[in-house]
Amino acid sequence: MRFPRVAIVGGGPGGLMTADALQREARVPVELTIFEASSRLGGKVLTRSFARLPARYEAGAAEIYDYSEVGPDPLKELVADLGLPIVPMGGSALVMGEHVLSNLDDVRDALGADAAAAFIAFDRAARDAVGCLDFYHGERGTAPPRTSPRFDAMLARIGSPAARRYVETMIHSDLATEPGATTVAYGLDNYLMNDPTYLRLYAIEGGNERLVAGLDGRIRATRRLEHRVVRIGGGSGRRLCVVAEHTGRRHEEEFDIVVVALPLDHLQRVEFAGPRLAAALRRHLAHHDHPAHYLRITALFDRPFWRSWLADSFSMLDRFGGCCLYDESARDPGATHGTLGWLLGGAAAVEMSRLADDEVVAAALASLPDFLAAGAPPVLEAHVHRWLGAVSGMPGGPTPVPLDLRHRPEPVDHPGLFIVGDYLFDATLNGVLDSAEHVAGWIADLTAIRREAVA
Amino acid sequence: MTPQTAAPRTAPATVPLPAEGTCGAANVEWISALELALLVVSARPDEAATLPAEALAWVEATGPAQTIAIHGAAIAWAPGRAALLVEPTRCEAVRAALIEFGMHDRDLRELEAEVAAGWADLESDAPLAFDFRDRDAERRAGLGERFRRLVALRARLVRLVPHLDRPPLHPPTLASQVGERLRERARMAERAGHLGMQLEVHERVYDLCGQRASEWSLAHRSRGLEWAVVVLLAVETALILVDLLASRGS
Ligand SMILES: Cc1cc2nc3c(=O)[nH]c(=O)nc-3n(C[C@H](O)[C@H](O)[C@H](O)COP(=O)(O)OP(=O)(O)OC[C@H]3O[C@@H](n4cnc5c(N)ncnc54)[C@H](O)[C@@H]3O)c2cc1C
Repeated sequence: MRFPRVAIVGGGPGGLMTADALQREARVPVELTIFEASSRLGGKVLTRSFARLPARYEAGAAEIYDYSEVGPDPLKELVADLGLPIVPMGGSALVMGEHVLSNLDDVRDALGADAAAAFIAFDRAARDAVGCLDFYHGERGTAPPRTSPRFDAMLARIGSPAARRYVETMIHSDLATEPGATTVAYGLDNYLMNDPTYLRLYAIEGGNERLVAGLDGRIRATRRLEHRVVRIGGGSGRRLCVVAEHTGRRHEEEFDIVVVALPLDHLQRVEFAGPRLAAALRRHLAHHDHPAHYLRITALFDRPFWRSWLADSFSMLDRFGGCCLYDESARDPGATHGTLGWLLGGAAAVEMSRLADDEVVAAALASLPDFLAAGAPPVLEAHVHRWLGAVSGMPGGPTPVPLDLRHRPEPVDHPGLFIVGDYLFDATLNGVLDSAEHVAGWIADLTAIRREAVA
Repeated sequence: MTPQTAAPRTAPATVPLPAEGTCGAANVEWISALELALLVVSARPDEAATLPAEALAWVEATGPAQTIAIHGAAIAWAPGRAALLVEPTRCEAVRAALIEFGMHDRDLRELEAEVAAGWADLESDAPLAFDFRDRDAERRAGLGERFRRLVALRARLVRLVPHLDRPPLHPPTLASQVGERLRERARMAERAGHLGMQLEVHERVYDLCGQRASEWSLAHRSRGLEWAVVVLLAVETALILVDLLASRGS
């Protein structure tokens, strides 16, 4: 007996979540093969440690979005199902110049009553445009299209320049792009996610990479690490041929179904065989490819010298066009050392990535306000992680594409080729899980139907 | 740091105040509804929020203190005493948040204490939820009283919960952040949840006790009726017999 052969291209969260969901939902056994270009699974979920101390930090995805207060939250359920403990994260402080603005009172004192009023007016407009439930349902396929001009047009309407800068700083590192390069809908989503009624944040105790380890532990599949897929398509009959490079040599294998779980920067490096499939993928890329950029700098100190001023798990800093400052050591309540992480987004991330690591670290330290820099001990160790073009600055594209077409770009001649990606929803781990579950459910139905037809 | 001068009220003589010149006795107000002496100290915006050691020692003199430092405000809280360090312009709102928290905390503690006090009664009443006998008749009034008390407790909890479980305000104010942090630290939503579960157990037991007691009372009443019928029948039989004997004699 031959079971349907399914290839999953990409061993990041998207690929692993697809494999896991497919294994659960398939009504007939499937033979799974995961192709991963690097030597590890997990993609951009990457928990690292310093050499000097056993201190952990997140080099990729830092926090997970918690929607469970509003409705079902499949990712939180998955994390619970894997038995992973979680720690809440949060922060309301924004450093502007030498002021820490943690609430409206601070905004009023530091920026003036007019700026505070302009900020409140923007906040009201944002809430009117996107309610809590709209936000929850987001662009998940069924919502009416939220076509719009770019987000900078909306920000320009904020009456006070100080308030505008405050809002821009607040969301810049979440956007990972410039307001002019994204939609109003995505910009507003990134503003509203600061409100705990819309969304809460958490991390996995012991590192977010435990999510990857948990999934990896329960997936039964052939894992082909260090197999970079370079070409897909052109198999016998309706089957799809996957060509992967391993140790400089090319290997070919045929599959009934191929799920491509790659971010856009990697997807565009894969060749799709046949004019129809190649054209469909070109259309897919043209619609979705709006690259956004991140750069992370993480520095280890002998103590968390910032905590008297910045006590939350993260704060925003008005440097680098607005960046996020993570208290990485807050993830580990027993830690005596201090780990500070800067998350730069958009143009600043691109610009800084051109510098050498030590220059980037020096620029990060120089970005600290005087009241923090004055008490900063020497850096014990620092690391830079460059994530250029690694995320989407306009998830879902400028206008939403029907859910099925997003996930199956060429249904006529290549009904067995599926796409999974966070950029099809909201550029987060929650989005990639939604995408993975949609595709897994679809494949489960298809394989069951095919079996019944054969029987 | 400078002492806060706004609206001092007199504290009862039983509360020893910090020495003049350290935090200043004039800054302590007595909040009688909470039985709490509150010391308010002014913070300067450019300083990290730390309560003066004397203020902390004064609070800790009545028991171990909870301390919270949040966005330029610092709070220490122990049974009967609290100290608040905050910028003068935000003092009124933060003080109100603190007092509001204190009220809710007091209400929750009272409810917890009353529910806890009810366990002994519950244990002795629990058998009546299954079996109610004639000898238990005199306990009916007590059961009714405890059930009414339970309904009142539930009503108080239901009215309190929305204040403990409300979503965080956004954009926040310092006062809203202080209130949220205090509620979080006191695990109020969680405690209210536990209290709800405990009340449910009490309610189930007393609900069943009520059912058993009314079954008993119904049965009791119908037994009386049965006896009345028996007596009537006996009287009727006796009359018939008398009638029969009389007719035979004639
Ligand atoms: C700095 C940063 C911070 C982030 N923060 C958050 C956050 O806080 N919360 C959140 O929810 N999300 C966050 N994200 C986004 C999150 O990381 C992604 O949503 C998630 O990793 C997407 O998973 P994926 O599997 O689609 O892609 P990836 O994680 O990129 O995984 C893709 C995998 O495919 C492999 N691959 C690439 N090309 C090939 C090929 N040709 N053949 C085979 N394998 C290939 C790669 O090696 C990689 O392992 C962040 C991302 C970055 C970069």
